[in-house]
Amino acid sequence: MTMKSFNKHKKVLTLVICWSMTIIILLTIFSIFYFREKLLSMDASNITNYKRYDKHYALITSNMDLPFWESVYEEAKIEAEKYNAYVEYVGKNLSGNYDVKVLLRIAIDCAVDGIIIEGSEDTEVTALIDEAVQKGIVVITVLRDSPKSERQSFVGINNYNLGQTYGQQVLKIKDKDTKRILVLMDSSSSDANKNIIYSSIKQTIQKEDAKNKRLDIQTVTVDNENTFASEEAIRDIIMDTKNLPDIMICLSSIDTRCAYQAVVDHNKVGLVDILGYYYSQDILSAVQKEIIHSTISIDAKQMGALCVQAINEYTRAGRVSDYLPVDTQVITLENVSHYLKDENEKMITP
Amino acid sequence: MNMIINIIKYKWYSLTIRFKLVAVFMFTCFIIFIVNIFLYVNVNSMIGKINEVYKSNVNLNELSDSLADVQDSMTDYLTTKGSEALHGYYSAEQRYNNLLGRLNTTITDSHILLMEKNIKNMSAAYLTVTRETMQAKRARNVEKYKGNYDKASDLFSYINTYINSLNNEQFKYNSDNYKVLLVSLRYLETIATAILIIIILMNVFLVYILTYSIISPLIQLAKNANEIAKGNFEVSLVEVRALDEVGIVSKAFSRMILSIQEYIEKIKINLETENMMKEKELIMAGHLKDAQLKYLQTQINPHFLFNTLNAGAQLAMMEGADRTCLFIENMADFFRYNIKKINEDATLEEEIKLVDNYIHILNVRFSGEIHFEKAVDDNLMKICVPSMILQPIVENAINYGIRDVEWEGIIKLQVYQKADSTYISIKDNGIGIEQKKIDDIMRGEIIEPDLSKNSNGIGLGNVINRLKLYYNREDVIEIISAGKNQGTEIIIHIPHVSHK
Repeated sequence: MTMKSFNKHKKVLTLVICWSMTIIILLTIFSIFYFREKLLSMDASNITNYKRYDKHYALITSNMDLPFWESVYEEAKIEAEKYNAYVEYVGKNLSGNYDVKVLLRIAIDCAVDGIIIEGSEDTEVTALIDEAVQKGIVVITVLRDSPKSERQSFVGINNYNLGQTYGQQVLKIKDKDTKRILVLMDSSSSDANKNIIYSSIKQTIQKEDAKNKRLDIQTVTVDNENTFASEEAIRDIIMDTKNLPDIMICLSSIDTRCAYQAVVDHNKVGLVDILGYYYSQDILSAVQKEIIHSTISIDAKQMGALCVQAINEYTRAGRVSDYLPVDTQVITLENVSHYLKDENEKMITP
Repeated sequence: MNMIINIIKYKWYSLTIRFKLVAVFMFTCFIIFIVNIFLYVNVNSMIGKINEVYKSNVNLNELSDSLADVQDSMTDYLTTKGSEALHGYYSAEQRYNNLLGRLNTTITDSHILLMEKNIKNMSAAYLTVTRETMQAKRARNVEKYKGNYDKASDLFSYINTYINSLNNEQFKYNSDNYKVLLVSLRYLETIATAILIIIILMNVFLVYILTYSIISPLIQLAKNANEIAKGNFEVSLVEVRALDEVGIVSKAFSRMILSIQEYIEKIKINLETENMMKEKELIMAGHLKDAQLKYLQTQINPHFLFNTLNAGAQLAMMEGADRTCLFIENMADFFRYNIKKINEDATLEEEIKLVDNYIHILNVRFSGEIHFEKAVDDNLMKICVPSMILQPIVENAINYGIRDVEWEGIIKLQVYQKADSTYISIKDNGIGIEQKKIDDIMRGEIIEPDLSKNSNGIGLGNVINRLKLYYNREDVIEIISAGKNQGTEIIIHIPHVSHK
């Protein structure tokens, strides 16, 4: 080894040592940061990472698990965000299962700023709504109204229009053998509401089909208040082979699903035409399979947004329209694929 | 910056190997220590998180207990209207209020925090109701306190549900956190193991490099020592900046090489002076011989010798002894030439005449035993040659070649031209010379016997040397002999180039 190469060797040696030391130090630092980053990314829970709001609104519905109400809630939340408000789905995180009355009581005691409630004509509910209003809480009823209460506004579908839509669907599917039409009424709706829907259906059918009076339109009230009751009731109807209806109009998504399941289970597909109410994955696929003839879609998103807008409108201006209508659409075999696609997307990105 | 690096470099070089090794070890240990500290800190922070997780649950249980105390004491008061129960109620309420103070009051999108806010608001409502109930009881407003009690009980149960739900939520959150903790612990484990392995490898590498840097001068030293052992003293010196043990050895080694080189230089100079001395000695010997000759020459007065010989020749002629006369004339010519030409150049003709004279003398002396044949190109007779070259060769051929042979001895002299050179060949049919001896003669290594008795004093070696010197070339003379009894030929090769 010559002197020159020896010197060069020395230089390389110093470089190598410096580099190794730098690498070791960098590696350690990098690992520390990498680990912290990993830890933070996993700890994404919002107990430490949350947003503050000015207003607190409560959403109270009778059945919290329905996808319909989920849609309403999600959209209400998004809409509320615009006004720096947060919507709480009261009862969602509670261990106990409470009815609307208790939830309303809780919401009032929680001193929220606004309540969106699926109304009912129950007197206790009405009284509680009145109490809330007296305490300065803005109350908006949604989908179902509490007409006797002092609620600020009602956001929902027009029962008359709904009846007309069903009537038109009945006219579309009826043939010479169609005789019995059964409307499954909700026990929680008021008689007035039921009457409006029923008469609207009847009017529509008779207007179009004046000569033919042989269509027998009946209503059955299904008990929605008690858990599982509606399913049993619908099954009874389907199993009653003699009085089997030709067309069955369901006015809730639970009823729709129960009717569909019962028809399939008792091999009555094709014998009974079901007109559904609202949609979920299984209702849509039933429409696709032509087990359910058509179903009504209520624009849940619009509904949620309207509720929040109504509260804000009232807080801002001191008044709001008494009734805010929500759009409905008929889902049939022709347009079901569009809804199915939406539903699938929702599943992928909840 | 550079200065600092230089200082560090200097410091590092001035450390001992022992210290360097310790430093390397300490450095690697330090890095591993740092990594371990990092691990422990993280594990500790995780344990802290787990603790926090359970603390929140404990807090909620406390809240729930306190709420139960309020409800119980109220119920107790309503039942007994005892002052102790009243006191108990107030203290329970106070405690409960204190606990409520810790809860969140802002509106957020976090379930847990929002539930806290709800609990707080509901508790406020509940406490209002209980206070009203107590007042109604004191006022003995049975209707009111009964109604309020029911209300309070409902609220109590709702709040409890909320607390339980919150507890559940927190537990869910905590178990999620616990999962996260587990996963992160696993991450930590993997990362830590990876770091440790990489650092250990790095450390091994570093230790290798550093120890190599420490012992590489030793390896270089050993290489140099081997080179020196092989006899190569021109090795480069080991450059060692370190002042450690190896540095000291290397420096000593370098000094040793330097002094050896100096010593060798000295020996070389000594040898050269010795050679010069020897040369001088040889020149001295030449001078001595010269002096000896001069001395001999001065012993005889040449003119007296030649006059005497001439007188002898005339006497022989007068007496009719023609052969004696010729013999004496030849002798006279021979000696005259010897004396006259010893220091001058001669022509080839003169040299050949001398050989003739010599042969004549010898034939008289040895009664015609020597047959001398000449084949001479007359055109070459005027070529200039150093004097006294042919006669010593012929003398040599007679003395060593044909003197003692059984057969008739013949000496053949040839002068001929070939290419641009003149060749003089003296050939005998005597006993010949071995090749080894020829080589020795050509190298001048044969010690010539004392010639002063049987010759004119000039030996073959002398002729060869003079010819070489005169023509300034090595191949001027050639001795050829086919072996024993095969005769010898000596060829003088005279180039036609100009010479002095």
